[in-house]
Amino acid sequence: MKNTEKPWWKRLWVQRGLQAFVFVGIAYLFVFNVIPMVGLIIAFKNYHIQNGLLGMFTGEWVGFKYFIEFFHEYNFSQILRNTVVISLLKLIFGFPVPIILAIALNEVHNRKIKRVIQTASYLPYFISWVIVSGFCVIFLNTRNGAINSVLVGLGILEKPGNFLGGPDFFWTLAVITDVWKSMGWWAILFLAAISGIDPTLYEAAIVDGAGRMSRIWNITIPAILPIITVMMILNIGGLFNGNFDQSFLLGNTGNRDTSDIIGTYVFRVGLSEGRFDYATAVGMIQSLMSVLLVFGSNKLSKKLTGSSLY
Amino acid sequence: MKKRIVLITALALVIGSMVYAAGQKGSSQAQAGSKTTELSMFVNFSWYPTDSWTGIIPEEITRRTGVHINVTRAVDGQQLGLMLASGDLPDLVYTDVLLERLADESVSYAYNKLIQQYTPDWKVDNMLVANARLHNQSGDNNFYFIKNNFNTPQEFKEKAHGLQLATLITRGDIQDVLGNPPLNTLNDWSNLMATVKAKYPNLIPFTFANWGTQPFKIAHGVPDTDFGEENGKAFYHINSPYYKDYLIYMNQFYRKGYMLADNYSLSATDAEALFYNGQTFSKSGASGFEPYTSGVQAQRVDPKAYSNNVLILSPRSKYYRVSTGWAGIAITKKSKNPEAAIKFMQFMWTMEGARLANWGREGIEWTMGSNNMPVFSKEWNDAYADTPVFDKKYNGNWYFSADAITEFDGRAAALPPEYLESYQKMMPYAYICPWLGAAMPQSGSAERDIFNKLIDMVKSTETKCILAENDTEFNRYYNELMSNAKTIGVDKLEVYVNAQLPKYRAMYQ
Repeated sequence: MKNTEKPWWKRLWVQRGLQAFVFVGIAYLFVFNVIPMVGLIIAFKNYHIQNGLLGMFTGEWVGFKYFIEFFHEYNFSQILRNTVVISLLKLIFGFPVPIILAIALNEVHNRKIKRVIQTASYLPYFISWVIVSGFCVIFLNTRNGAINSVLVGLGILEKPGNFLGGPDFFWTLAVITDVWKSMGWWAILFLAAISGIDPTLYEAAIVDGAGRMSRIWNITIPAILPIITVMMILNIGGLFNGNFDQSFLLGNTGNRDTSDIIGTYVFRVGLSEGRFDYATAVGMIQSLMSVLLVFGSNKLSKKLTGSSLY
Repeated sequence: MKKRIVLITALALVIGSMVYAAGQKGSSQAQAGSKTTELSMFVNFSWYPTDSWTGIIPEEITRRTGVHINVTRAVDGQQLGLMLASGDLPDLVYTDVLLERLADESVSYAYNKLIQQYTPDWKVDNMLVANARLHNQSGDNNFYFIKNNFNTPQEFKEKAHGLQLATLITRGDIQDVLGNPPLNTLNDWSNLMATVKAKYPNLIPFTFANWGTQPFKIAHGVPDTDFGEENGKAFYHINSPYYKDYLIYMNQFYRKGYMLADNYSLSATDAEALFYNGQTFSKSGASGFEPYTSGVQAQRVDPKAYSNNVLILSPRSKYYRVSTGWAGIAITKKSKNPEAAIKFMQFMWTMEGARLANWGREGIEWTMGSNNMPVFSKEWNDAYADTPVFDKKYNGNWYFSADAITEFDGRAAALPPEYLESYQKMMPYAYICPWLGAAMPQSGSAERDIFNKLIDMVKSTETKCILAENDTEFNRYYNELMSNAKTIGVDKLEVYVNAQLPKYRAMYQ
């Protein structure tokens, strides 16, 4: 009798060791991700925190009041634009960087140099945004910031650029700092995928006279395409999330036109003022958009490349 | 032999330090007495100058009340909200925000009930009770804290020697070098800025931290509060006829390089540090002790430095004081000993307790002077000049219960007389109108949502106006600000506040 022909509980018993691992993960998700979803009900209710958990059920229904309120906000389009544009820019400029870095590192044969580059590139991932925003203030301020001094000194800028206090540079700053911070970390993932490629493929290609670029193009990239696809789908799913820490810490009243994203808006207008019902409604819109994007991009990817998340 | 000597020395050091530590602990315990009650307190002010119940004043309070406070200072403005949401609260919460959420029987003990039970001889002033009840939305008529820093308009009229108001603080030593040009009008100030910029190119002419650009607002005749009042009618401050003039002035100020756009991206601490480190000529601040102590701090970097309190006033200037009190202490339902907590609060709300917390021990740190202001000891005055030293030695930061006049007198009496004189010049411009503060919408109401959204929008759009690079940009942002205010509902809010005013005016007048 084949294993697949056994009843499911018997198969489960046979795999009990592995299933125990899965169970812990499922239990974690259930407790911390599924149960709290009950709280989504307050997006449709007039909820006061004083009423505690019970208030979620006893508060009066207000229907889509908070959703409508958000869509009618004077700065709704601006917040939505910032959230999507910042994420898109990061996707366009930031997504290929770790892939290129991983491929480049794979081509470096000197182990020491490879290790140094890898460590240097993934260390920033462990620096918190609080520290990064401090760096930005030190390097980019108009008075004695190193970047401004260099740019003015070289004659590239006439007067120091208002990188931090104005709206013009925030998107650029957000993309650069994000790429710098995360490229090394994500490169590890692609490096792991590359290390799984059968070396005999490369050997055969060399025998056939394939050059380095040809090997990268015809072997490395196709081999890691599934992981690239999965990462791309997940990234597209995060288009409506933005990076709260980054926007919150690098944002200020001077650059809010370009730095304010859904996350910071929810925090400021919803949570800081104790409007949990409104904050939940806005957060829910964000989540729904993300879910739709994940499903959509997965379907598209299946159609175009044949590989997908599920 | 050498090894032995090293070992014996090390052992002696370890034993010595242990004995010393034990002695220290013992002495503090002895001071606190054997019946000391420990109460935990969350201080919801991330800027608070201290986070420890140490120093002469706290120790004396503990000696007299038998209560020792274990202080936790807020890391940021969001912490208390999360604590309330999770129910993870200490015995006491000292805060000026989220009072509506604390004024709830499921969260805090009602003072009136605790007083009835444990301190029936404590008669709380009716006006203070009324102020506290403003935050009670449950309709149970209890009060859950008493807010400090309050006096009635009448008390201010009769007793106040000055007020804590938005002011300009300058480097007096640099003004001396520049020949002390007159500083009475906004024009005078602009001229001084131009001179400073020309003669001291490495100095930023003006920076701001918590007090923003309020002194210039006031000088233009724009309320530095959310609402102003003219002929008995309340108006949102951006509807002041002088608001645009103020923004134009500030925009010119920026465009001429008298302040930096970076200022908006600095934390309050970093912005203040610019003045202390001698990188800026002037800043905004609060009258009280800041104009003096800022100079003392700057002296560490430049021995010549001292600071002035500068008043730029016009006939239109009005210092609004809309406060119905500042902060209160809630005794949470998590409190293990509400009896000790309410008795502690009773002592703090006596004149003896309030003065001890603010002025130190009577007869040692101060005696009452002829003008109803304390006269401090030399030791106190010497320490007062240096805030960190003062905070460590006396730690007179626990103004749980002081009214505004007591708090101000304590600060002003320790200063050189010229500062007090300049504060007294502010007084005719003060407009004490707690009814305006009381008329603000309660949290949870639709009007409050409008109120909060307006604050948020004005803050960011005003910045855009001030940092506009040319007139066209400025006008675009200004029009945006006014139209956004309409969209959010400023007219509706004005109608609401004006409807509330008569009731509260009667209450306070």
